[in-house]
Amino acid sequence: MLENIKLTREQVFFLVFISALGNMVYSHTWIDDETDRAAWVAALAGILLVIPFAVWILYLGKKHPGGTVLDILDAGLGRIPCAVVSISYIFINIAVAVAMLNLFTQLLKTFFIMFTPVWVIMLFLVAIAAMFVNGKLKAFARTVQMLTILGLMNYFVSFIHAFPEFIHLEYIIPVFDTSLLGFMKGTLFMAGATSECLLLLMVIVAFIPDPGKHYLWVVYSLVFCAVIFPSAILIIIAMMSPELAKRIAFGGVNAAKLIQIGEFLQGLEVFIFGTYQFLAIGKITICLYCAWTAAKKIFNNWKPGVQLILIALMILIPSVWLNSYNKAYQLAVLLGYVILPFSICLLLLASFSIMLKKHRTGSSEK
Amino acid sequence: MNKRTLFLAVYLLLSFVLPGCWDYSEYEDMAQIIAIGMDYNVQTEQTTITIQYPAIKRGTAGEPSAPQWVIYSATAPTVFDALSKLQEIVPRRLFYGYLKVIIISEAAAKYTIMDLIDLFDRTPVMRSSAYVVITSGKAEDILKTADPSRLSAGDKIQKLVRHSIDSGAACAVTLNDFVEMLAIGGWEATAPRVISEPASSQQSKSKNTEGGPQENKNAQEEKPGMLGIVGMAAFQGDKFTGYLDEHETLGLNFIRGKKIRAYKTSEPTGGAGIEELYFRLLETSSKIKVQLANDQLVISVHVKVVADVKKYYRNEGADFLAPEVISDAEKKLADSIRSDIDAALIKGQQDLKSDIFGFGFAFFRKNPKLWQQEYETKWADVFPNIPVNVNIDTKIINTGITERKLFVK
Repeated sequence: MLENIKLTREQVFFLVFISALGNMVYSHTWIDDETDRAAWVAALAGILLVIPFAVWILYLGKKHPGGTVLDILDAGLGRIPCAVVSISYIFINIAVAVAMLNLFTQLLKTFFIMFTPVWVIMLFLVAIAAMFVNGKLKAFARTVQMLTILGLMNYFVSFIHAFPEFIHLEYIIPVFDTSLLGFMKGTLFMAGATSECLLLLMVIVAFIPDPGKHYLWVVYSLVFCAVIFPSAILIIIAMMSPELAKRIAFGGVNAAKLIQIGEFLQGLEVFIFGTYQFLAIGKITICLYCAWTAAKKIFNNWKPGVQLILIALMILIPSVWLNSYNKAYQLAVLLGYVILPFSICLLLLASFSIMLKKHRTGSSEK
Repeated sequence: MNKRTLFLAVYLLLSFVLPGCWDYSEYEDMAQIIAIGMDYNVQTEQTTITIQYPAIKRGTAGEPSAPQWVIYSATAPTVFDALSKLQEIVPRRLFYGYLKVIIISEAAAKYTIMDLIDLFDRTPVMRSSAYVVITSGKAEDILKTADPSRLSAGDKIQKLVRHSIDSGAACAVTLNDFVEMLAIGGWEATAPRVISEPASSQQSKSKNTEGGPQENKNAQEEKPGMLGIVGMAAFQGDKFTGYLDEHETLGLNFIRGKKIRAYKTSEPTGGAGIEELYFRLLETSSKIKVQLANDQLVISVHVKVVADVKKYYRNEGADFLAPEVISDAEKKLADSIRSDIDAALIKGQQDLKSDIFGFGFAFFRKNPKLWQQEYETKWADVFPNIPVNVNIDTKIINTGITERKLFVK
């Protein structure tokens, strides 16, 4: 059973924002060889490309008020096809969480606590995520709202200290030094990476009041994301040069290491780390919530607490087993190519399901 | 009730896990390395790594002062082996978070510099803000130099590099700057050159050490001397190619538009006695423009300098420093700067054949496609023959606190 809640505009805005900024914050360097200096433009274009798919989900929500996309499939295609799709949906969410958990844990190990076993860090993060999920979506959405604002302020206030000494305009101008093909490849990959937010939207569409009317909530969120994330890439390139920026593993944390304030503050990576931590916890919680919601649907709400613990373990165990930044990075890249086609297929099925349902209702009415 | 049980379970689980700190380390157990030196022996193909860190001792009042700085060296076939050997002989955990300077010998700069740079570039605890310097002697000897300033060699070099802006005889290059110059196409790397001059009384006593563990624990083992930053070392790719003297370095800094706050003199003039004008540079900037006309590349460097006059002629020239006198002084300053720039261009283009000015990078920015398709691969051949037009715009904004000559009765 879905919770009987309605999310506010701000809650939807920040939930979508944080779910869009998932593994992308690490995997965006994958396209840098193709896009060079135009990496930030490709990110901007890629994020904006996801808007039509997000609006499509809200349109489906309008046709089936109060239900998730999985509910639409269930109503139109029946229980078995819905279960098959739900299982794929669960595994994709688990994969996204596994990648994020590994990427963040390796960031922590590389920069700060290299001798602490990974399972300790991962267990802690998954436990926090499980507690958030157990504490209802509304409470989590409020937390995300506050932490995202704090995280963004923390990020950009830290990088203000890079101006003007560590910013080199010659590293960002000219903007386009790449081929059109390379730029398009980069844009499509970024669209794929951003489409992680569609997985969340497929669930929270049930909690958006009058989704057909309030589609702009999501559009604004993605536009905001399309401003914030490319700005972060632009700052990193301006600080490090595109040649070095494409090599970095941990995005803003790497770049913040260069900032000095006087003799005593050398490197602000510890501050930027805070933003990455908010992001990791938020993203893992979202994935856990989405997978849990789909599992509850399959098992008809049978012992949700047990299901939550099992899904948390399904995230934790493969993450501990993987225990590698490089493998997690490859997984994140692979997901960047998988999630958007998967989401499009799911949305096509859901649209077909609505048509089928409408057709049936029309037939019965006759 | 279920929620309470779950909360209790999670709380207990975290209570067991969180108190354990696997990364705990006592401050006194860390060797806080402030300087690291790298030498390479071409005959034996061995790398020597030398580290310098402060000795942490709790002294009491009246106790004779213990040596403040500890220096260790280790020699091995690779950088990584040498660092491992150092850990075998240093009674503390090597910690690089306070690293201030990286001193690389000329031989290491020619053959194995990338081993060290790659290690530092990948290791987050090593600060990207550490300065890179090159020495024509041994890095180990530089670190063993006890300077009259009583600063450690690492501290002294850091301060010298930082204040090189006041002489223009070098230009600060951090580890990150150095890596950027290695990575960016059409721009070759440079780093300040550090020298050590032994104190005259100690020159005969100095020993030529060949690595191995040693600790600078007492006065007898100290090597009095003086450290200095003189000019820059130039690279081509990751290979050291030669040095620029102070004159050429100043020219390089003018071309690159670096901030220079040095004193500058005009060319000497003959008259009642040889005299020069003194200027204090206040603002310096430059623009590099690339033009392609009839398949011929031409580089234009436009240098802007703002200065004030610190000394005027005593035996010649006008009594009152009127605008036309200032205009003449500006020309003299421009001539002086031009001679520095010409020296740097000759050194870079004809002698070192290394694009330390970043002309290739400027060309890339002007025309990325043409650079990538045609010039990037053949730039090393094209660069030495490119004509460079230098335009110097000098402006003297005041003559200090006087506007007339000082007449001696």
